[in-house]
Amino acid sequence: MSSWNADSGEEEVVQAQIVESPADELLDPSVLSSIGGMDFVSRMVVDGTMSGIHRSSHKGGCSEFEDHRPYVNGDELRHIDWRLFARRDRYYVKQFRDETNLQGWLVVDSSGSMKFGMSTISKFDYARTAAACLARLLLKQRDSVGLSMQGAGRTEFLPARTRSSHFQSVLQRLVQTQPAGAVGIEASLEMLSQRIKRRGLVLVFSDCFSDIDPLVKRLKHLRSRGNDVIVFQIVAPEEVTFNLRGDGEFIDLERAMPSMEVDFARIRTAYQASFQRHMQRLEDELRMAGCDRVVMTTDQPLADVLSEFLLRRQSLHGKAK
Amino acid sequence: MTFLNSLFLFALPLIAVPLVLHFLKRRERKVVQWGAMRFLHEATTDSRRMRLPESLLLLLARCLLVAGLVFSLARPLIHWGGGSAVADRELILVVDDSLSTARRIGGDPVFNQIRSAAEKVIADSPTNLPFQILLASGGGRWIGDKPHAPNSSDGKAALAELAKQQPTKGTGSLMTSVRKAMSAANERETSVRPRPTQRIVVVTDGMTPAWSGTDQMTLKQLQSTIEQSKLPVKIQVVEVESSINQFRNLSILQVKSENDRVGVKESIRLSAEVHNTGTVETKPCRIAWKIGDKTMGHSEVAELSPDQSTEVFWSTRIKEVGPVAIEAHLLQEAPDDLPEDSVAKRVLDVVKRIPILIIDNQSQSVEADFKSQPITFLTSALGYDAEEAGDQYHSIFAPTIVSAAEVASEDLSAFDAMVVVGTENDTPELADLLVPEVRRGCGVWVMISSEPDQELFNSNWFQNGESLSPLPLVQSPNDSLLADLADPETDENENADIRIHPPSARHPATRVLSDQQRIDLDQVTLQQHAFFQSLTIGDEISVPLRSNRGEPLVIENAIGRGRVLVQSFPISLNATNWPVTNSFVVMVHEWMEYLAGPSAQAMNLTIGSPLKWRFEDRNQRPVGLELPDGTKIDLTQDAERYGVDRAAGMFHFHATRLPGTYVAKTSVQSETPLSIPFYIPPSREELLAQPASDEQRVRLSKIGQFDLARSSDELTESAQAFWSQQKESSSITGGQPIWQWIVLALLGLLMLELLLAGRIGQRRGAVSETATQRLNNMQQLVKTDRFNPSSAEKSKASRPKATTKTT
Repeated sequence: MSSWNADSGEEEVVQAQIVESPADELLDPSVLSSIGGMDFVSRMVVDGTMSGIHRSSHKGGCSEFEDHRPYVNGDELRHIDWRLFARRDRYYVKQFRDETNLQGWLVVDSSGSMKFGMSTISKFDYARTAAACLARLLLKQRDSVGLSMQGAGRTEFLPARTRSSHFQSVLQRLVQTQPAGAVGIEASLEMLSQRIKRRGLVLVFSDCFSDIDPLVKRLKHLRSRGNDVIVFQIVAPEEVTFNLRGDGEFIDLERAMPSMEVDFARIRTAYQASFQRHMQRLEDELRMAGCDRVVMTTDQPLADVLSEFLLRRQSLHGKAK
Repeated sequence: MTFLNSLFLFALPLIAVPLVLHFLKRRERKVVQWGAMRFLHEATTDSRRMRLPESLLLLLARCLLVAGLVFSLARPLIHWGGGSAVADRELILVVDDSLSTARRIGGDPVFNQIRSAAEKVIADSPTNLPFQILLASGGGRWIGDKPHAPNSSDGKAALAELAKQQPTKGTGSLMTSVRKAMSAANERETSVRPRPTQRIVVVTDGMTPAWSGTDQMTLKQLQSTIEQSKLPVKIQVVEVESSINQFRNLSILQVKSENDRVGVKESIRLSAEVHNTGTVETKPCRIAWKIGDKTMGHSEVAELSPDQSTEVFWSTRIKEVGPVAIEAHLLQEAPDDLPEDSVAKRVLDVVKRIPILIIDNQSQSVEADFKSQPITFLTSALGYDAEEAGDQYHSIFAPTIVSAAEVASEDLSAFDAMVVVGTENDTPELADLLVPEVRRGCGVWVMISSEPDQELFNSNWFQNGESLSPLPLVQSPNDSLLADLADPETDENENADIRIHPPSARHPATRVLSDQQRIDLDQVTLQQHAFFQSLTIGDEISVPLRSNRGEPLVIENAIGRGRVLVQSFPISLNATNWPVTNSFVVMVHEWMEYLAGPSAQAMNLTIGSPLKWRFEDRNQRPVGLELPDGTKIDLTQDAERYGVDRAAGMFHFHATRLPGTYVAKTSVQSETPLSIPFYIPPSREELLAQPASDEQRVRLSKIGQFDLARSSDELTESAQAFWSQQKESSSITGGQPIWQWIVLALLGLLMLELLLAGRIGQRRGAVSETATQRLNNMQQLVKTDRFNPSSAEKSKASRPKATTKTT
């Protein structure tokens, strides 16, 4: 009992701190120091208006030649390599690698379920900290960062900008938004797919506890438009292990539903099975949609998780190269 | 349901303790704001959610545990429902089978009416009501071991047994029987079953002795017992109609003999007391005297008007040694309405000789002086010359003469009486040797020497009342000078001989001596005698003989079973002329009989006194006993109980409840099989039975719960009322205890509680797995699932897509 009270107390303290924290505090210095030195490298080539370390999908221009490919109808004639035509008597189009700047989109889930945090900080806090960190990293790389999330009953959308001052407005949105309601990340993704013009990197921060099908549908849509989608699934350790003692009442964080009395121990196995089914299906669906998925638990140090993720991305990037 | 310790029920609110604890715990219940509700919903839509939570089961078990503990401490009783309630009721029939119920009315004994009335009471009762019959005579004798329903086999056996019953010669003690029936019900009361509700029906002929001993005090006690303790008892009395105008009955109230131990061929005189207990005058008739089946003689009985009695005598000699029952049988021309009391018996023990010991204590010589005057007089009176029997006549008392010094070496237990001649050679040992013999029943006759040493006598024979003499000797008043001077007349008296005051006929030692017509006791003179301390008021010392001056001459003492006569003068011619009078022989015989009496075997007994028979060898040992009702008991079955387990010893039988002849038989295989008859006459009250007085009946009817009626029909209604009243009240008392079952259930509950608590505790324990481990495990699981052939096909379809996109 006492441990419970202690836990919930801690939780309240953490929440209070988060709510009143100024925007800068979202940036965990230890996180930034551990990931700051690394380049944020997209797995896929992304179009960018600025030359960065990201490869552009634009072939041609002043950029570095990469490859030839057979000509198909619709290709611009100016991209045809006439020398090769002379040699092979076939049309080939020259392809160039262009280092452009990346358009990164942060999609943070602000549904009620993200408010949960028992022995750790809430999932939303974890998510926005992670989002802020990655936003800063991208901006530091001179990539542009945009934001789409639900806030105050409507979808908040910040177009992608490269300016460093833009970072402050991103942080402000993140800090001001409080998780509530049942409206999940699907609306934000919908908004994003409507507004997005260029291909880019979509970073989704969510617990993915909503229905898988609508989520995957939207993610697929984004993928089909050539976006690189990374889903950071943030879960609380209690949600994974269901390590609760005794029995109690559960109040839904999203919907106003009657509370549910359960004997924790009694349903633990069933819960775990249900949870596992969900996670497995989610993973399968996301993989099929070609989305990357990173599962983070709020008890893990954010720095470790992010740096581990970036290392993995870098190695993939290396391979792709 | 009732509770033996209902106070414990006040602890019942303790059930609230687990409840309160539960709700307190509920108040501290966690409220979790949970995000992942979808998994919860999925988990709880399982059928498991519908099951009673284990915590509720645990709460239930704990509440039941407390309640069970409280209940078991309160010791609840479950009541017999409906049919089984009858088991707690019983009907006790007290059937009067006393001698008076044998009276014939129109040739039929009254007992037949009593029996049919009893049977009717049973028949009128509910068929499943257990009954038991108590025969009133002999202090109450049960038929069957406990109440049985009339339709059960035991009940039928009891009814068959009742049909076989005949009136006994006993007295029906109805009040004793009622008390016995009530106490039997008390004994049936156990912690398991309450005291049964009793309806006691007494069926009697209403003659007086049946309620004898029923004085006002007894009735009051019974009344208070019933009323104060609120015993569930209903006592009803049915008096069958038994008064008749013409009741012809002569009864022999008793047969007496002067002595129950007689010598062979000794003349004995028997007397029979005949009483007309009927209502009509009887004609002259005869009494036949029988030994066994053989009629030995007759006596005439004169006509007797109602309530008149007469005594007839008959003399005989018996030639054979051994106990013999002499039967007096009334022979009348007109039929007797109660023939059972026309027969009476007397059992005589015919012996060859009764050994007595004469102790010569006149001098210090080692050998007895056979020729001394007192011894010669004594032996002559008994018909002996010293120890030799005379030719013509000798008494059954066969003397052995020893000196005082020889006593210690004699086997004193062989003698039935002793005579101590003289107290000169006084040694304290002699008196001390004799005291234990007196205690066992051997009589002692002590003759004080002439001019005895007073102090020596007192220290040896009186010993402050602890020895044989009940009184010490005192100085003779003649020695007192004052007495001489004060009363000159005493001189004259002094010179005159002392004579013997005629003794009382009531004292058994002087019954014959008192016959002044035939005995010349008035001729006896004494020259002198020793003086006993004068009696003070309150001294209860029997004085069989006194002098004409009122001084005790012979005083009597009783020690144990035996008697002691201390005679204050010697039997010598210089002291008295008694030995030369004919009364001396009478006196010697009578006193020897009197003294030897207690050691004789008692064969004419009263109800309740034990049968006893001393046997010297195996041939005399009784092996069987026949009771008055014909029952035969094999004594060898329980030899130790009857004292016949040894070769020589004392047979005893205590259950003499009914009057009549008891015959103990020695083994038929022995050379001289012996029948030892014992006779217990019916009580005089029973023989003289009269209808109960109205006053007595009024007293009886005054007792609560007591109904008096003339027929069983009159009682049926009141019985029904009683049963219905008791049925209601029986629910208050009694029941089947169930606490042992509750305790068993408690143990079960305790096990359940422990099991549940253990299970819940185990499950509530922390999960050691961390979230990361759990997720990794999931990953592992997913991977193994991938390689699982069954799911391989599913994943095949999805894989190419993913790979094409990533490349």
